[in-house]
Amino acid sequence: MKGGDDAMEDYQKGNGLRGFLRMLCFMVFGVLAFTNPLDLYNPYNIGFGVIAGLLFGFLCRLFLVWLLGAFNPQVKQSHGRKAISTAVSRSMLFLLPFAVMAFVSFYYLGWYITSGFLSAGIMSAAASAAIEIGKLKQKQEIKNMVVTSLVAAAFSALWIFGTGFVAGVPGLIEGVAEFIRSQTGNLF
Amino acid sequence: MEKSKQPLLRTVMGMMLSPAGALKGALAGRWYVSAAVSALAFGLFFLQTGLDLYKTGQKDFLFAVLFAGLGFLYGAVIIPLLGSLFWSITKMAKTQMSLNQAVSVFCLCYSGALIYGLFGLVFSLALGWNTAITFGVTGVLWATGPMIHTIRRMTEGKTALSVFLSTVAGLTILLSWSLFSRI
Repeated sequence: MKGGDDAMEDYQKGNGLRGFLRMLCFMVFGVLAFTNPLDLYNPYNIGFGVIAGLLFGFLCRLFLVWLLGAFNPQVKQSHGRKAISTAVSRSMLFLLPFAVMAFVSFYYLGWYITSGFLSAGIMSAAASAAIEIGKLKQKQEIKNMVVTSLVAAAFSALWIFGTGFVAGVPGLIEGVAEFIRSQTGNLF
Repeated sequence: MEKSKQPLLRTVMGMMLSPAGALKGALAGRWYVSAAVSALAFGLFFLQTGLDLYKTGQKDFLFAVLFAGLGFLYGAVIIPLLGSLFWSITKMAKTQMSLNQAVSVFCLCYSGALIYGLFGLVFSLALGWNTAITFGVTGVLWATGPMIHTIRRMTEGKTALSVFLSTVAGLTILLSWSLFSRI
């Protein structure tokens, strides 16, 4: 990408909407991962899913920005501090097709394979991030593809193992909340 | 548009590992060779679905073979048709890709699914695993990544339009495939 401040301003246009859509995608993945197919509208599962999804998305983006920044310091120098963060934001928009497909397959088709959609989505978004950086540098580099693929693979694994590890937490929160509610009911 | 001939195997591996880089080479390919890639990918995927059902005693072996044939037809007809449909839509966004090139790269998006399908078949036959979900679905989902890059290229880098079209493409494949799997 050539140009000065105007070109970069154009490049960053729509960052707010992109951020909203990115968070929405991670919220969808989180909700689908923690929703019990036998109790679809359990507020504890949905609430925990939203928080887990947002936290995961925040960490994933943070790592991508940090590592791509560390491997491409010249991009920051030539395009400004926010260039890498914007490139990652643009690429993460490509999570949207996967989030929509995961939602449809969960609620319409009854296929509960959210982690497959998330893994493929993160891998695709990460590859797009490497391409975006390549556009800024005007040359595609294999090191960026390797870095982003490694981050995507690590976060896919983290999601798969992490969701299994904390799967019981919403139930635990629900139990504690019910206990508190029953105790306060006894008081009044 | 620049063209450079590449061996099919290199293109197939490239589309799986680095779709953006492989696209340039894939554009020079013949559409019917690329259609063979998606036909084989879906043939293997449907074969594994049939084999899983056969192993669990829900269907007979003939069903598995016929279902593989159906998958082959799906990959050979539906995917090129979808490529043509998206080419005509992106023609309005002034794509520089020809119809031949669009169909070719759309079919090659399933290169990863073909590799997954081959591995899945080996595990299904040698170890008796049920592989339709583990290898088949994963492979087909993986194809969405290269498809996004293809559509982005077709729309000359228009991000919003390519995200929208990729979502439509992914949903079309997901829903049509679910219709077949209910047979």
